[in-house]
Amino acid sequence: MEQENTFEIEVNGQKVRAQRGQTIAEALLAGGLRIFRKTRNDVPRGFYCGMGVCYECRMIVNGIPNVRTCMTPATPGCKVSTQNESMMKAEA
Amino acid sequence: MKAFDLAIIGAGPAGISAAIEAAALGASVALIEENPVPGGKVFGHMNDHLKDAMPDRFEKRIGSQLLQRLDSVMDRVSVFLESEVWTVWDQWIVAIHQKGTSGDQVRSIRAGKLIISIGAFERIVPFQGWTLPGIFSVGGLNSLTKRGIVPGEKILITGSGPLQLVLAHHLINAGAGIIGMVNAASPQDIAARGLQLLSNMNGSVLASGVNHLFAIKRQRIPTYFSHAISMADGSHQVERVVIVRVDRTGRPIKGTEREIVTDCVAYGYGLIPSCEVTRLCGCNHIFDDQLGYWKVQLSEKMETSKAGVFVAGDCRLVKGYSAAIEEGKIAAVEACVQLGYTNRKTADSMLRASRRRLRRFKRFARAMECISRPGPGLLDIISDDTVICRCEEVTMKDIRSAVAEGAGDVNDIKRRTRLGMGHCQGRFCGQVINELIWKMTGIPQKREIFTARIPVKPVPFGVLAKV
Repeated sequence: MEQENTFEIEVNGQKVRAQRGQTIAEALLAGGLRIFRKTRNDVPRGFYCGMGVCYECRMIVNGIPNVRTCMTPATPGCKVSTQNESMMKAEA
Repeated sequence: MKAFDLAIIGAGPAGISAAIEAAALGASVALIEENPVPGGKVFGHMNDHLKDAMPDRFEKRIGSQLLQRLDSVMDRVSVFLESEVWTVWDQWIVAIHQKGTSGDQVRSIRAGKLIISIGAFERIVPFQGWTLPGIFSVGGLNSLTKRGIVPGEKILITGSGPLQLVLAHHLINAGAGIIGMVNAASPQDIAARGLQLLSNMNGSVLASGVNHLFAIKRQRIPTYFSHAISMADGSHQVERVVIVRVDRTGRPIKGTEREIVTDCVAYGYGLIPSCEVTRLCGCNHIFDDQLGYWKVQLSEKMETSKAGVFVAGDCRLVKGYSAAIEEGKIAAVEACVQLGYTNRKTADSMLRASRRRLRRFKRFARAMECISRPGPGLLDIISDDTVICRCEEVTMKDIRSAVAEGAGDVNDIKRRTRLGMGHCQGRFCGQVINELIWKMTGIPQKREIFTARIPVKPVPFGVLAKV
């Protein structure tokens, strides 16, 4: 069966188009999103090394925190949200 | 526990080439890769319909040949994808953290021999604001551009090294707007190495290089030699940067600063080898003073000081994919000699041509790396507010305080400030911390590196609890 080449993912509640074969990070950057997480001092960070070394692109994906979006394929309907580590500290 | 003759960590050009050769000689092979596809940073994106975004014909041809050859031996190679090695126990048990749709799991495999081919990553000199979104490593922006994604309209390429040219060419092909190229080397420095480069080039590297240069020349992109990025600023992402003229030692020259408005910056001073797994295995490493990085010590057979542990590709000396393919072959054939799948005489005749090509690649790579290496004076761009450790948000000021309180070595600084204790495990801050301590104390001491700790890549506690 022929697979759809584009589909939607959900980013902070908003729909973003992704292409089959793209990583989550690629779909977000193609959609104009720059801030992937906030540090525990509330400083914005984004995609940096693009190869799984720096961990700056880590986000919450389908409820799981610390997922490196540069290495994780986008899948139809996956839910992605900005990882706010200052809030995570407060909750803990 | 499943047992294999050979476990290969990292399925980039070197690892794939090693898997092909070892499987062809009859060995059972485990090929372990953290990404969802094999190929590494250079060929990993060729597996899907987006591959047409790749403009480099040589790269494309070599990559498809390599992936096709891997396909033809897949019955003898067990490929573990989305699988990270978080430690290696003696003789040799490889502990893998595998991600998957049904959740994470950990497993271990036993291997008679190991080939470590985990590649390289960006060399950095931190500057104020380098953590802002919109500032990418040169390799990071290049991997996006190859996939047709250009995250900005006014792109500035800064740093040094051959990857700058590759990135510029890919951006031009993608129709992106490059507002400038900033290179820390002077034209004289580059010319001085030019002859050395030319005499050791092979046809495809030469053709690629000339191809990149002409594409850039046609665009009339403003180029700033002997300049370095020294500051970036913006409220939520990069909006402007400052570049400054640097002298032969890399030292910034006061009064030569100029501001550039940009929304996307690529930044890096070439690549350095990833040596954390070989350090964890207890292999001997030395600091290469000329290239300015740590590297594992190898015999001519690509074997480390630990018997049965081999290394191939850029995780020893950064040379690019053609050399990595040759090294993967050499390491695999040598491992197979030890395993008894072939003998010395056959191995030597199989490897003669590879060894010869590799010698030339290495001379070329050294010259290239010497151009990329920033001068020691460039550390003067680091201000007190500059973040040195991105993960733990440790600034130069924090390091200064720790040194004033008596911290004398890199592991001491780590304990006092948390520098190097975050997610990346000191891969970036670890590159400059020796020099920063020496600068502050005024005494060049012994060169050190953070002790490699388990896990070399973070693993969730919940996953470990299931072991």
